Amino acid sequence: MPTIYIDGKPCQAELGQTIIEVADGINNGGKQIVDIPRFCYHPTLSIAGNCRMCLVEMGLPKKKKDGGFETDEHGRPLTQWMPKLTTACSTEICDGMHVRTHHTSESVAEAQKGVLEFILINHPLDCPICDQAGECPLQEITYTYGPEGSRFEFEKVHKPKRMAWGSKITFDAERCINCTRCVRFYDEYTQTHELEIVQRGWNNYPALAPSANLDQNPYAMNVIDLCPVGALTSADHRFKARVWEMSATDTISVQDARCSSIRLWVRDNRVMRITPRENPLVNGYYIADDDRLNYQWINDNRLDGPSLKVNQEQQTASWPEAIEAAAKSIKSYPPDNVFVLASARASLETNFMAKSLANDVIQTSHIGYVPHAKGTDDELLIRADKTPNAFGCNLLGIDPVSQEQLSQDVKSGKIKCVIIVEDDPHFCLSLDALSKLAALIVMAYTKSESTDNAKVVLPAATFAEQIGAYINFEGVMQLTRPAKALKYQNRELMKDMALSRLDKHATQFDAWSKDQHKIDAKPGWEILIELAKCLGKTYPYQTAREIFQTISEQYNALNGMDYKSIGKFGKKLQPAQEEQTLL
Amino acid sequence: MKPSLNIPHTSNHGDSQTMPEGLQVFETQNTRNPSEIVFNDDDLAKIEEFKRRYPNQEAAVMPTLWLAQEKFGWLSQESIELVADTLNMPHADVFGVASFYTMYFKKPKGKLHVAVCTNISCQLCGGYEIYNFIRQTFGLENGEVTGDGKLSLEEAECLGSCGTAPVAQINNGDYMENLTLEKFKAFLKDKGIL
Amino acid sequence: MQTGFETYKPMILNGTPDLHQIEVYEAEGGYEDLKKALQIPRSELVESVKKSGLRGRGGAGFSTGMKWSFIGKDKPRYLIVNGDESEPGSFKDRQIFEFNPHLLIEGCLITAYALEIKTCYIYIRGEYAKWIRIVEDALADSRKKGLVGKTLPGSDFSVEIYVHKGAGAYICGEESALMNSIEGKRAYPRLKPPFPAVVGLWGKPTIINNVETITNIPLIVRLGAENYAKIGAPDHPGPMLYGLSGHINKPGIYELPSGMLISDLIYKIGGGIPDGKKLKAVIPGGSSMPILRADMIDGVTMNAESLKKAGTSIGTAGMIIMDEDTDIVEAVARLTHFYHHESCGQCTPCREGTGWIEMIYQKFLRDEAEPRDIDLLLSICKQMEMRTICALADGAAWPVRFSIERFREEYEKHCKKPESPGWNYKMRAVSGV
Repeated sequence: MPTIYIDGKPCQAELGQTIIEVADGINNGGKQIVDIPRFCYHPTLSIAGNCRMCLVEMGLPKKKKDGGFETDEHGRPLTQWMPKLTTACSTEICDGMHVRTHHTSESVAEAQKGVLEFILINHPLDCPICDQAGECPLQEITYTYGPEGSRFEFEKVHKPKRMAWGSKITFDAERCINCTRCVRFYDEYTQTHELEIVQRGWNNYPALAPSANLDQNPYAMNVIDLCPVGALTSADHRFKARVWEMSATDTISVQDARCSSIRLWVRDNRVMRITPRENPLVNGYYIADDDRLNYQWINDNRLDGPSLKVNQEQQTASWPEAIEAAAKSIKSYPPDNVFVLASARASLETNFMAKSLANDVIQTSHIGYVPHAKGTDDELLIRADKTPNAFGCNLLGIDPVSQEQLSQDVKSGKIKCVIIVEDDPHFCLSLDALSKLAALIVMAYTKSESTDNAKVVLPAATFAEQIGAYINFEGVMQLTRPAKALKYQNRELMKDMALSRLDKHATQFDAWSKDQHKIDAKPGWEILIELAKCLGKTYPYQTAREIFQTISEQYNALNGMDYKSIGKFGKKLQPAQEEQTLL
Repeated sequence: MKPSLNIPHTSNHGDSQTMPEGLQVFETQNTRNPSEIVFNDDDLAKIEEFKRRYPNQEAAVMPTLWLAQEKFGWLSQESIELVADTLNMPHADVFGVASFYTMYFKKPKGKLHVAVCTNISCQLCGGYEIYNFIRQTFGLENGEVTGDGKLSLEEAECLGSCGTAPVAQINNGDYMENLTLEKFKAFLKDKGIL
Repeated sequence: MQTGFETYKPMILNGTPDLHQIEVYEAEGGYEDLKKALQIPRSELVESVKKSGLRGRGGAGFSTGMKWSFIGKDKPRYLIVNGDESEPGSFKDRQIFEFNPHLLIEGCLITAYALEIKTCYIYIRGEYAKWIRIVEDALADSRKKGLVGKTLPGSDFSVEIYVHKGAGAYICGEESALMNSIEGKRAYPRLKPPFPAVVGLWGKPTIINNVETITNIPLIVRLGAENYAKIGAPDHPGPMLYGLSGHINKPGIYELPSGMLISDLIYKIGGGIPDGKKLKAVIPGGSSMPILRADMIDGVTMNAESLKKAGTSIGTAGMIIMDEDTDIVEAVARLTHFYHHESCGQCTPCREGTGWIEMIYQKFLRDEAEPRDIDLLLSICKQMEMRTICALADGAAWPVRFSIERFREEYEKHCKKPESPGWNYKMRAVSGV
């Protein structure tokens, strides 16, 4: 194993790796060994080496003319330092290489200041109005490694500003430092080649070909995260919130069966935006634009508090009233006429409770979930299966049932009472089936016409408001974490909810947090436990964690997992054991 | 009177704009019928010959851009897209190549395009005299065209003719070497410009 | 130091009329060197070039034989002849295109044979439209004679040669940018290592040599390596095409042995300075090379070692002569505009630094500069040099840095504005500032 020395410290390395990869901890379990600032380098993209920020001093063992190395008095090889600084991102290591970063080398520290001064001479002073402020690598690197000020006294170069690249991305050419990350992303990852740098010298910027349409590129918005400055910003999120006003929660996307790892940014209990989270097991560094842009349903048009259908209208009711009405309705039908429709959109815990409710409490054999598929899988991240937990449902032994089959059974009268757990009624049943259905008890997230016609409506908490396990199509189990507080929840008192700067430091005079955005909803499993109690069975579970404990004991595939062992990136279920349970 | 601040509460894309005037890199063809921007069979045969010179047909982009410029006079957005489509290259890449080089005209030039070298050897031998003469007589700056489209000016970098300085290049073609103001004025008179 | 240059008979630009016509060229003994070379084993040819001591004439002065010996084993291989002569002050390659293109073609064929290269591209800058036509005509003639594109007589080897027309970019003279230009991409220099000899055009081993360098190859075959090495200065042998331009009575390209005294070139060959004026400064090798004051050229000869000792470099041997009335600041200001215009914009120090330097020079030209701007220029040069992907930044910084070092009084003359107070900003973070 070759060894290199960074600032005198020996580090394991492998041939073919570059200095920056070793410094980032590729052989150290991902833990950074030394900080090397960079703009244009990205682990998923080809090496450009054009920002010159990662310059380091490099030395190789001094070779003797006849082979062998010159050594010092201790027998260690002497180092021949290169006259020029070299970029850490493009220099491949070799055994015995010595590297000096700014920690031990004056000239590297000077070089960093010099490069930053150059980047900043034409960079507009847009920080007060730039969306990137607060999460801007240029700001952070300048603060840590940069010069105190600038000596540039002339007018800065003018380039196109606030250009609309489709409806998703806003581009500001003056802020661009021409690192070419966006160009390389569209060339190498999506391979759609929409961008290229135009012009020569300091008038250059990446231009969108007039015939290119970024709205048709399902991964277009990933360049917003790649861009190290505020040149590429989200049009959807423009001027909506400052980074430090929002809390960031690590969770997963429920748009499709990939369950890409994401971060939910929440301010005052409204989801403001979604950004990708690195996960080598699931999605790498990127997410699809659909994962990113579909969050309004978490905020708006939510079912707030239970309701009962009284005289063709929904009337608000209290939780006990609603649960009792639902229980009464269920009890009035023979078990064989009751269908418990679980959901591949719900967490493993909720589905487990649905199954328990069906099998143990109502004692009906009718349990299933309606699969939602649209389009086809593509080679990158998007899956045709638009539900996040189909694998989980299958694991628990809940079989898919088609919308046609279910509607048929309802229309023929075989099924008279349907309990929908966390799904939209109009997805699961056809319109005429809905109108024929005698008793519809629905637990859903958002208001719709179909929920208006339900007998009992129980508002369910979304994935953003609870902790729950989801298994993606490859068998990777991940957890969602609560980012948005439910009514009667206090964010600061909830141990596992992320806090923004405002949450932590706001005074009673900062009228930032109001309770109006908290929804009166409960996690699906909690509603089902209350329903079960009303139907006569008491379950001992107080938290989702306990339910997960039971699932992990009952199903071999989970092999004694608990929430802690799932970790940041999730855990892949072992295939052999999966087969056992599915059989 | 205080100006009223009419800031929309949720400004998403209302404040975006397409490229501002004067910063447009590629002009659309407005002097010719865009459907005229096509390659005929002769052109395509020439392009095939270009492609045969290289193992990778993308390398034929430079000779093809020259062909397009000679055929259409200058490289408009449509011409560049035509070149890209002919060579099966992404449009953005060909825009990048065309905008990189000085001799590919991205704006229409005058019937007579004069590129006067003012780099160091020509500067020492009086290149600026010729350049400033054109500037002052016709009111042109670097890259501009006269109103009647007859003359355009360019301040060229070293044309590789320092031994016969000062030098100017006409229409990306022949050089006028050992220039003097008299010689140049006579030339312009001959072309009916002066 | 070379004496006896008066008796040197030019071999490259030998003055024969119509030498670009293949019949005239062959009548003069053209393509004989090629026939001779085809009988020599390849490794011997490469050794011969190494022994001859030929150094690249494109500006870097790297040993040609050594460059050839680095070529990678992969096939197919490529040869590129770098005719993108855009360095201000250089105009020698154009003479070869105009007056002896067949020597260039012969050099390509011999080089290609020696290194087993089947395809050769002659990259000629776009402005040389007239000379591209001449070279293409000469190529067509050689093709008709079965020299290009067909198996060479007396061997089993064939070479294809194409001319690639540039379109106006100085950066294409940089080898790796040249490769990107031929490949149809934006002409950005590539990161090195890997070097072109190992990973070049389309990833294959590529040798890139200057036009003048290639025209010396048939001469090495003709004279043999030892005799060739005797021409001119021992550390930098061979004939050299000197360019004389600027304030000189007889400007032009002169083929003479290397190692000529600069003073000989200016006064004996170039006829001295017009109007009897005195010499102020000379840039010996194209604008990127450090400028020399008139009092620095005593005994300095045009070969790599001597110029290095004198504090400059040989470059392309295109000398720019400046007389006593020249304003150095104006001359260098025009150069800063040139480098700013030609910077490709890929990496930060060159892209921003060249522009910043140009704007500071505009301040000097308006007499609005202050003494601290001179120090600022030196600081910017220090920040640009050796931090970039290619050497354009160094080429841009050297005229500035050395003209300040050697002609500081000229700059101070332009500093008419009184020094403004308070700018004690330092590059280091200082507490309390």
